[in-house]
Amino acid sequence: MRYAELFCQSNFSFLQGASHPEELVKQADFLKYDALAICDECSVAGVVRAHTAVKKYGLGVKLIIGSLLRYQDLELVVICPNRTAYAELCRVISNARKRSKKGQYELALWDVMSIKHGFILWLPSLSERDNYWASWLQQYHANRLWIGVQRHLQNNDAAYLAHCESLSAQFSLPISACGGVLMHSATRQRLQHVLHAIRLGTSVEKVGSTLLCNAERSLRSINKLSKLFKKAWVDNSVVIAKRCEFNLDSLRYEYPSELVPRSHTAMSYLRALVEQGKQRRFPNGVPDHIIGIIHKELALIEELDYAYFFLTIHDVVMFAKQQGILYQGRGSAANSVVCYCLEITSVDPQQISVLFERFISKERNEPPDIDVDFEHQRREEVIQYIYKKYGRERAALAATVVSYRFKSAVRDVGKALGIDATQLEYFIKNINRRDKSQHWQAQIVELGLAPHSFLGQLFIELVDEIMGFPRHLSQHVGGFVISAGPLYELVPVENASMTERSVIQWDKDDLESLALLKVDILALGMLTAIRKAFQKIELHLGHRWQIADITRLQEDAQVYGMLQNADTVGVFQIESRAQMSMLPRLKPACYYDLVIQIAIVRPGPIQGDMVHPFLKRRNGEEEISYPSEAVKDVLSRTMGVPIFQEQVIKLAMVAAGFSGGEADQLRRAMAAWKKSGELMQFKNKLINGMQERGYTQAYAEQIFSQICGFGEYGFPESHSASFAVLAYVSAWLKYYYPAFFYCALLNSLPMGFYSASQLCQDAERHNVTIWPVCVNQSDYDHKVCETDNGFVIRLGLRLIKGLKASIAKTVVTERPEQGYKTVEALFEVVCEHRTMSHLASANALHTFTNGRYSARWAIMDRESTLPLFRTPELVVEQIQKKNVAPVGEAEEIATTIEDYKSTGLSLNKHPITLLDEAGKLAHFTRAQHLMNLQHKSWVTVVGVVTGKQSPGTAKGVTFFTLEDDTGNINVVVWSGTARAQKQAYLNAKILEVKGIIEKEEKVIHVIAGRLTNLSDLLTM
Amino acid sequence: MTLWVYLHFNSLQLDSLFCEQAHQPIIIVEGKDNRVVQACTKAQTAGITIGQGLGAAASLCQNLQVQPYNKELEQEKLKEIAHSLYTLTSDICFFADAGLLLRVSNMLSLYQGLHAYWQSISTLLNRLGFNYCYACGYSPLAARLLARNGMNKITDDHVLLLRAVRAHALHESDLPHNMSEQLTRVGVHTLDALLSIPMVQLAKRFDAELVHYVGRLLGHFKHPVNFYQPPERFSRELELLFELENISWLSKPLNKLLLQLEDFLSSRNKIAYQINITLQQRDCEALVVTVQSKEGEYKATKWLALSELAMSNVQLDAPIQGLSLQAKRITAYENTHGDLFSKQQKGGSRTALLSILQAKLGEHAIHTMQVHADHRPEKANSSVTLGAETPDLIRDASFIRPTIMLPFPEILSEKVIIQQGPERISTGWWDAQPIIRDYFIARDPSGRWLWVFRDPTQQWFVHGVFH
Repeated sequence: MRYAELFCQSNFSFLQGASHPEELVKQADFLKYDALAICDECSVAGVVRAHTAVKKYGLGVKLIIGSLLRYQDLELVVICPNRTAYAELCRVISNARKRSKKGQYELALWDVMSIKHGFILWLPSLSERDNYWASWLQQYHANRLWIGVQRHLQNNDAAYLAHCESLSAQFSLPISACGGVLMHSATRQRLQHVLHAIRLGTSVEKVGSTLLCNAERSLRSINKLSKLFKKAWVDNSVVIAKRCEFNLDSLRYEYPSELVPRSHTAMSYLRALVEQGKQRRFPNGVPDHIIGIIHKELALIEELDYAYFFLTIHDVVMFAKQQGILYQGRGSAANSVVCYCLEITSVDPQQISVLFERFISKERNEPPDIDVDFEHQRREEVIQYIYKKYGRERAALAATVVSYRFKSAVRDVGKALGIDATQLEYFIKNINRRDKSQHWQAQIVELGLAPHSFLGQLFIELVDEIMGFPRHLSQHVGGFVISAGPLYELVPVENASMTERSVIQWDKDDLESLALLKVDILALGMLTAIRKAFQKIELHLGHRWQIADITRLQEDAQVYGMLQNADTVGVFQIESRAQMSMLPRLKPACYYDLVIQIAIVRPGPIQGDMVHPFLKRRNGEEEISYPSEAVKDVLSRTMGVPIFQEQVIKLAMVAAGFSGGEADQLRRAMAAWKKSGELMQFKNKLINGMQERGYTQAYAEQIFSQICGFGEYGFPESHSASFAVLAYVSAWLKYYYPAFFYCALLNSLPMGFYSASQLCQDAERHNVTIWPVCVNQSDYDHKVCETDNGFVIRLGLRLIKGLKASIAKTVVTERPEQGYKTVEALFEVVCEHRTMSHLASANALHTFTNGRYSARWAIMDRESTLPLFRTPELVVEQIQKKNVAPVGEAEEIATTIEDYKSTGLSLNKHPITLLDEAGKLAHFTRAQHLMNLQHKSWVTVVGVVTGKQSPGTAKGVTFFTLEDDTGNINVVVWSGTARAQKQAYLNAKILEVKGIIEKEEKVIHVIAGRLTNLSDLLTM
Repeated sequence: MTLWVYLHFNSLQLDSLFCEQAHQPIIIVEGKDNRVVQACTKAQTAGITIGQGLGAAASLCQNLQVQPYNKELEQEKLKEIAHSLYTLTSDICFFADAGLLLRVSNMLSLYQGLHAYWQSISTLLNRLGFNYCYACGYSPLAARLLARNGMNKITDDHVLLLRAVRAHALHESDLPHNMSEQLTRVGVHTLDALLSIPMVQLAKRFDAELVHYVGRLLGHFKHPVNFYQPPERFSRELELLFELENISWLSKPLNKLLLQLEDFLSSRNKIAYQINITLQQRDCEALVVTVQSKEGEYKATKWLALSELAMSNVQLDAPIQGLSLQAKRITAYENTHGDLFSKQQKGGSRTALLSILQAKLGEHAIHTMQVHADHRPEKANSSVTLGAETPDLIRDASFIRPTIMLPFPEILSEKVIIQQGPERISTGWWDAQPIIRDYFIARDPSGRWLWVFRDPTQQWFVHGVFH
């Protein structure tokens, strides 16, 4: 007996299916089914995973693509015999999805009618309407129509079977058996019940009889099925499956052809563009070895047929260039000479020629990887350009599958089991997922869940089981799929939650599996800042800089000196405190050092214990040795320590004999290893492979543990290389044009690590004067002003909280030449009390009022704006009579608080200065004096808490950043200290720390002993 | 000017939990935003403060016990306190957030001075055992402000009270947050500053609300309050001239009390849902008989009939010397009996019948059937006490189920012929009573249609009979 399951839903029928697509195909193969049709409800989101699993495990079961569609009481399973039917199904799904908001669909009768190629399994509903539907369906779909009979051992089975047989006889429709499968195995019944309860927003106990009454909706043995169904029905399933020949591998991506002029082929056009680019990029002639590389690259592009891909990206970046939008490409393929010539990236190949061997790798079988970052404030222009150029039919974003994570799992499973919501919140808030010493199950028991109680057991098991289950589709940050024909013939398109955006039903892994290319259009704040700095420099100094100009200059020792001192607030990628504490140790002195610096301070290398060996070797404290020439080739540029993802992959190939395909699988397993644990299956292969090639077991084990540590956090060199360019450019700007640099950063917020307040303080420490907001001097944006003492920054009106941009801009454009002289004059422009108050609170009216309070007080007087009373005299009089204001200008603390409230920063005195002057602080040491103290000496520091981080890489440690009036202090709090002094640890805004100072070269930490919460000092 | 005392009960719910004896720290949390609203001393020493988030609180204290805030409970407790205070002071008024306002001025002549008055009030309060803060004031708002900020001082010194009021910051007052925020932003941080501004200037710039607040705080504007009215009670006693040994002879004296109850209720247009009849037995403890009426009643005849039913089950330990009658749960009478032409007036209503049955058989003796939407036959229906029913869940009516279900499945002992099936029921994992059964409809030799099942051990059972 043979059987093909034609109706099976995976967990991509969200909250219905209770098994992953991979599990379903594996189980179907195990049960020796001929075929399995994954038919999620109005979706094909899960099919690629099933397809990948079939290929990966070499399964004998044939995968059929289909979908369950519901229209009123009509239920149909549509499966695809061929490519045309598949395109048709994608179109139907897209149409139904587009009529509805995100996550829902609305099928129209016309959609069903328009199916001309797909096979239809009709699932009668045992109602009177069935007769109507039978004749209706037959009218449109004769010869492709079957009655799909399911048997789930329910109460009404007998009636249902009789009904179906009578329909079959009456309308001469053939019957095929099908399973209506929701689970790969009966053991998932509990989870299916839970999912069902979640869907209905209630608990399992209260769902009642809509729950499945048994586990028959799982994949059942053929033996059992042959007892439940007539033989002819089972045979029919096999016949139908045999007629389905469509395979996802046959999907081909066709690139938009309009990019290529008539006289050219894609390849010849690409060659021509590269030729033009060569002249521009190498004005003094192209070095011979570079020409060689270009030839090699172009040959490879031609061989793999990637020309369109490069042309597409070239087209997008040319648009950005035209519009003056700064961009930068990154990724393995981005760091090629071809991309340099096409102006996709500014990484100068002469500087880092070492990178170019890792261009698109044929043997690694990876698709070319190019991400392009654009200015974050202007990325939307690029996206709109793509939509306009290709139309909404041909361009859409890739999806991201949002899955159950710990918190959502606890919340939903808990609710389904009837556990009190407050209790669940309590669990969630108090479980530290980073605490590796205790698994969450152990922690939840500590929090009061009885582990051996029946409910406790269920809860833990089910939460574990549901994690990783897809919950809904969301949009990828910027991965575009662009095609020659309508996208909906390739994959269904649905609405995203953002209006005017559409997403396809596959995520980036799915696209990668099918070798479909996407173009990543990403947003990067630093590019905005750099462009703004360039613009201002050109405006004031007339010099026109470009990124490539700066990288083409020789490496600048002054700039690197600044970096070695960890003076990197605002510098791209190396401004975090972890980076800052590494800079004085690593002492970057050239571009490639920066590439390493960016990649090394990541969870991957840190967890893989690669940082310290590298530092030691760099400082000459440890000998550098290689077990073989091949390994040396891979690791020599990082002194024998694998730091980049590419090195690990390459290592697996040269040292353990992985094939290109296997290495690619390894790469993916690394990316998903926390989720799937798939990495372990490579262990033996890797270790055996290495031993066969003569490496010691110990070395092999070490490499594998490094791979595990690397996990999903490994950072690719190809990305680091592009980031290093921006890091260098931003550092260079900071060093040579500080006023312009800070001004540009302030104008690009929100971005980076630091707030406006922190940036301004850093600027002042670099001798950049900052002038306050003023309605008569400020523009909307912050600006650089020229004075006799150099350049200063004048804060712009954009800083004022709550102020509408449009009104702020009007204030600037309508400003009289002599400036506003009275509140009255300003009000005529603003016409809004709220805005006036915002301006007054920010002390922006200080040139013609007596402080912010009197200004506000005057503005609040409603009568002054009533037409009858609006005589200038009255207003002037009120403002002159400043005593009307209830109190005089309050003390300085109030001013500072008011500054923070209205603008988020204060140019007044720092809170710590104020408290110190008020005599409220006992003896303490300021940040700038810490340098002078002895290593291991006792110290008391006080500061505003500006950062608190508990990185996963440092177990049991929290890093505090305290800011006083001279700089930032790094405080390390051990978990023991934190636990004993939770109150201060959790709540303090101003913190006093007594502890021991630790100095290692220029890196200073205070190891906290006692924490005191001083926040109350600043309240009034 | 009128003098007021304000009592602020800051941990009413906590106090009524008697948690001081508990070993674990307890906090009360407002469910909406998960903020701590009350915390016991143990919790407070652990660093938990009022207004903190649940997350922060929980991380400060390992074995924290969390109770959701229960507004109704607090209201109920506050009523009880007012009720007790009513014996000492006449004008009591409820305020939001567990506060009571007492009008003092008119009580002073009775108590000969403020301190004697406070003496008796505080003695009573201390006996009740709730934590509270208190203060005096020449306006309700002033007293409230001072009490809520823990002044805990009783005085009628005008100057001192005003000074105390002025010393408070704006955020400590009852002013809405946005208003005190507005004031802060023109440099007004304290009530002192606020009160020094002329009203006219305020009125020009702020909502009427602020002017009202200031006016009321200073006692310049009238602050209307509603005084507490104690609930109606009915309690009468009747001394018997001679001892009664037979309970059935009680009807006459009881009727006398019930007639008084009828007068009491009908003159107020009210009905009672329960009466307690206390029988004083010679040399024995008094016996209390509780009689309930499901639909509420005021007529003596109806109550008498119910009482007789209820008392027919009572065993006397000794002769009765006297009896008393208390009416419980008195509410306003609302005519629910429909109009003159309504057909439902005939005969006793369902609730009246249930009252009679409960009076006769006892409150918990009446049960009703309830259907549950559960696949397990044992769980598909159950018998519950009257009044404990939950709304029926939807159940698929098309299910074929036998007319007569056996209380427990019985082992199938004869040969049957299977007619239909199987219907597999394997569910119930969530409450530790799972079943796995294949049900069939079968015929036994005598022609009866049986509902039988087979369990995983291949044992067969009969579970019901089709009629």
